[in-house]
Amino acid sequence: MVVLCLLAAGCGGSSGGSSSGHSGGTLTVFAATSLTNAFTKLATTYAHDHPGWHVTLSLAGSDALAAQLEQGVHADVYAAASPKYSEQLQGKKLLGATTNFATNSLVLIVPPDDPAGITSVADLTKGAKLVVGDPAVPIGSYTETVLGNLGIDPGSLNIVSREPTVTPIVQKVELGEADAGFVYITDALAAGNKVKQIALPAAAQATVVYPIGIVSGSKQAKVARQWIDLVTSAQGQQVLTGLGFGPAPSS
Amino acid sequence: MFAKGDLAAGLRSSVARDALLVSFQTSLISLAAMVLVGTPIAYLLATRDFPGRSLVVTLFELPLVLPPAVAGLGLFFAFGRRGLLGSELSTLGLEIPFTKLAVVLAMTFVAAPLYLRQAQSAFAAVEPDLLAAARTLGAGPGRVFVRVAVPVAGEGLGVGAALGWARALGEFGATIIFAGSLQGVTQTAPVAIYLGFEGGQSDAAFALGAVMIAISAAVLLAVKLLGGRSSRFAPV
Repeated sequence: MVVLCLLAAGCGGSSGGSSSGHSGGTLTVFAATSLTNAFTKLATTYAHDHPGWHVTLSLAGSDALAAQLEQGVHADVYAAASPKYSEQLQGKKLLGATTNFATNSLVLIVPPDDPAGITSVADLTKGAKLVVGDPAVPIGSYTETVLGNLGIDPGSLNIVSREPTVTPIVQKVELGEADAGFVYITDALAAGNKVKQIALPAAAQATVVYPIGIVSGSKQAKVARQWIDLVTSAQGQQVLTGLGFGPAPSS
Repeated sequence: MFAKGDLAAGLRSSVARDALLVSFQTSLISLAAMVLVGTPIAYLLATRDFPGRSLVVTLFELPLVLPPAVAGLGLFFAFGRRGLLGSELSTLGLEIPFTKLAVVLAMTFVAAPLYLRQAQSAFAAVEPDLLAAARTLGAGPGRVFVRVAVPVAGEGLGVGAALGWARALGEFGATIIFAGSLQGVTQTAPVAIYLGFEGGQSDAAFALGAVMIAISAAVLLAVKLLGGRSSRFAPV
């Protein structure tokens, strides 16, 4: 409600001098958890370039955010870690056209001292305690793809937990309670030296694509478009690739 | 949005059935542990005064007010394989995180204080003269506890057990952190509801939700009925 009131005030006010053409307000961006660092940086950039405007980030699993939008929660922009959810929302006329703005890849992480002695994905079948994402969430379904590409039967693995988002996977490996986990390379980079990365063969990689679009019913589509333009601009792409994301797919 | 047919279909799904089975199994083991270990402790706390008693009671009650996520991390620090007792446990061949035992520990940690509080006030309400009379007649402390205190405090203990079990059944935060989520092993009904809603498998989630509401209501009603017959129960 607070957000809505701010929006009303922002939209109702007279045009200010900012490039947005409005005196200011709040833009609500729903984004996948894996975009946390990238979008936090870009939100600062945006607020700096558009005085009076503030970007509120709601960061959660792509699926959870999609469920919220379906329940009628207000947002202006939706950025997901998989086209599955944006297409689902478009099917329900809840999201406009999307642009793919980044790619990501998966990596295997182990605790720094590697208690299970894992040097390649092949070692996973030796009983190491593995934590993965729930198949219902993007990281989980991408992990299934990767295992399929590697020809590893999930039944031959000692999967001890299927987590709802990437964060608890990283944390359980960091704590050394799990021997290994599949996460996005961006999460592994963000964890720094608290985890050790084991690269996957390029041929086994899943195609992780991030679509972004304007939520239907957004009262400030023009401002939402500016945010998307920033994300897809050279500046935005530089921030994303700096954090380990791949460039926007050419399509 | 949710028809009766969906409820039946939701309950027939393997996710819902496995989750209910895991929930009942683990919460009943947790209840047994609470009652077996908690009852003598509650009796001692209610009938003996000793230095540091308030400190002990505070420690026991801490999980009541801790955020469950903190409880989950605390369990890692105590029982995790890198935790305080980790090396002792692994010498015994025990690795607790991600197992059913982890679910039971999380449930017990969070729910036992409810039982302890209730049992303490039930024992405190037992006439001291009654216990004294039993001792005069030659009963030892153990016999007084088993033959006199427990039967007299029985209704209050029953109320405590019902509340403790219900809390264990509803445990979520500490469980998903310390035990994780694996269908048929550690995925309890509350965890399955959360994942089902997030992942769009809402049929099972809504069906499980309906079951949880029915159980919680039944427990509260039972507590009211028990409590109505007995004034020996603390407000919760």
